[in-house]
Amino acid sequence: MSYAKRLESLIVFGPELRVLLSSHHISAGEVHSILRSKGIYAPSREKRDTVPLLSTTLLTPDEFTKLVELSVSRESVPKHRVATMALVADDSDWRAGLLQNLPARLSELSESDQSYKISQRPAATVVGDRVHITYTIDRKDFSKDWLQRELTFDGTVEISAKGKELVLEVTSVHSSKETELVNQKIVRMISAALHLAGVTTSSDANHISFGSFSNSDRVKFFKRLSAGNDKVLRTGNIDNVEIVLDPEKPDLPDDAEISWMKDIVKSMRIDGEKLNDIFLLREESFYEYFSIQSMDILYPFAVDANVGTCKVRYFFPKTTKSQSRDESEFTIEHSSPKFTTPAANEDARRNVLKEIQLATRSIVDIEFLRLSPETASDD
Amino acid sequence: MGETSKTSGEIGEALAERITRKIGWENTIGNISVDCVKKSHKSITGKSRTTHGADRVFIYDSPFHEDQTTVVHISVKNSLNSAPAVGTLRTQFKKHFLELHEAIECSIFSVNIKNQLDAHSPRSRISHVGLLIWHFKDIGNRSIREDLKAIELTGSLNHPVYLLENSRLEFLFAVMTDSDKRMIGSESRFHYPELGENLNPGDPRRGNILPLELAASGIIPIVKFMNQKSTLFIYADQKFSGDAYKKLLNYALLIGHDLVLDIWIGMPDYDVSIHGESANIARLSFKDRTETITPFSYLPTLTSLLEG
Repeated sequence: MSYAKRLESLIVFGPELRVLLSSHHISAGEVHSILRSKGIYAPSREKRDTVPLLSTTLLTPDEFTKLVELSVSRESVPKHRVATMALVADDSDWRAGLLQNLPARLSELSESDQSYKISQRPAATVVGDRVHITYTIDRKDFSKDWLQRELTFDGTVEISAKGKELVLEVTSVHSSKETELVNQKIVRMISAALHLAGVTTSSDANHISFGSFSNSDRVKFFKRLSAGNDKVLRTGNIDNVEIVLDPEKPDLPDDAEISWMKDIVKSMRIDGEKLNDIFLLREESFYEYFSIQSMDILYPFAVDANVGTCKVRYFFPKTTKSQSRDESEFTIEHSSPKFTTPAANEDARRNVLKEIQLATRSIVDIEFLRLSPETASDD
Repeated sequence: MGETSKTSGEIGEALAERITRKIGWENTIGNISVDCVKKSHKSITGKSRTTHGADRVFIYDSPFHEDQTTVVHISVKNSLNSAPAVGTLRTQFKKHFLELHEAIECSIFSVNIKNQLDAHSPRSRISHVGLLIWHFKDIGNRSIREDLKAIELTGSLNHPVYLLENSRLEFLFAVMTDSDKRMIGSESRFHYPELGENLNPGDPRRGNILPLELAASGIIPIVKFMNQKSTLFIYADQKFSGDAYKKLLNYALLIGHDLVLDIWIGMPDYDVSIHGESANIARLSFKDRTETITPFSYLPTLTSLLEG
């Protein structure tokens, strides 16, 4: 393929489309569905019948977007992280301080290696009472098949003040390894900029990491996340939990429910439907012997007239050899909400997801503050 | 009642004949009698059929597969009423679909069809496909395709069937009408993008016939030659958005093959006063390409006076 074609592969046709449609990224059902939308009726739903027919047409931009970008987004669900910074005083104009010192730092942000390019540079904008930084990276990976060859990922970092408290909330959203690392750089720049302006007490943001908790507190933290917030999210069911037994606490109590794991179990993943009251999570005296790696909670939600359920995954990502497990940052992943009320339009769906994301971040903040010894009351 | 059916049938035939002519299907063949060769085929009264055939047949050499000639078996259904409720619509569609499919199953063995093919001097592979042209009077350019999407078609099917209904027919009509008005005096051809495989590089990439595959795509590339210059028109049944326009630009630049320097992108709703800024921003994504690119609307409105 010529250089020009590689650059401009926003949409494909002909043999390249055929390769894409035949790949495992696109299901037979999806090919059949687009064919039918075009008014073409194939002899069967099998790819051997549908792919040749569809690849001899031109897809409209909307059809292509629906086909490709939805399948790519399956592989790159956005992940949210929250960090906080304590303000020096409640009348400090943190926004002015940030906007004065941050832009120069952002302009110095560069790629850490050649596998990606920052295609849209990060810039700070003010949206309501929040400062918003978005950017885009293009991943270059010529070793994989066409679909992976050039993928675009967005990263976002948002800073806002938390209600009446003297705390700034820094939320980062990433959907790939590259944007995860760039976000971390940006958060460090933000902390430095705010501290330089004299509005925050420390030059480091408070992250929620694995090492922020004792085993006990960590279990309590996860459990409390299932309570919901009484407004958007009601009490949820824990339906998946991953635990690791603490190798430094091998002397499990004699209770039959837990003693069997001694010297036998290293880690365990329990997949079920309402795990809220299983032995491990019910008995507080067991908490110190294991750590929770991840937990999936299925919440009922209500946003305006929209009602349904949403599965949220809370987890500490696995760390590489060079990173200590304590540094692993607490991450939130939201699945697409499932609506029990009649299907809402695209705008309403997006709004509901946004409300759920705000709600989970707020629950995480509150529960973390409850457990954190340093965040003494600000009154 | 019989009178009205006849009239609606005649109107349907006339409509189909004219729209196919507009897309370059000059030699559609009508009134071919086909003997029924399958015992399982039944007529409306439930008796075994003796003859059936599509309303018209069109034969063309595929611009996408070098060894293929396509035979399109065309069935025309026209209603002087609005489209019925979804349930009835689906039932009617199944009936029309099966009727057409059965006609094709027997047509491939028909002497009359073979004679027509031989007169065409076909390539080594013959592909028989169905085309259902289905028009309702009172629904304008509303599409029934989404309502029909989920239909279960049982039985052994061997031939693909294409549906050109109101929205597609209106699109083809609007595109050809607009194209006729542009660059009057120029030589106008449909452009055939390289959609197939094993293409003979000697095959011409343009012609007078719009292949069925492109007619059903909702995207039509047309090239016009005048004063030794080529201009490429990409008509798309695609409402404007910055992202959609960028993708159409991509199509145009790939299809134009660096040979065409003047490109026009037609959408049904482009309005320079609303979309102009987005279009300019999208154009910047291809800033190292020197082609002149002009967006426009192929549906005439007052703001189209502002174009060009």
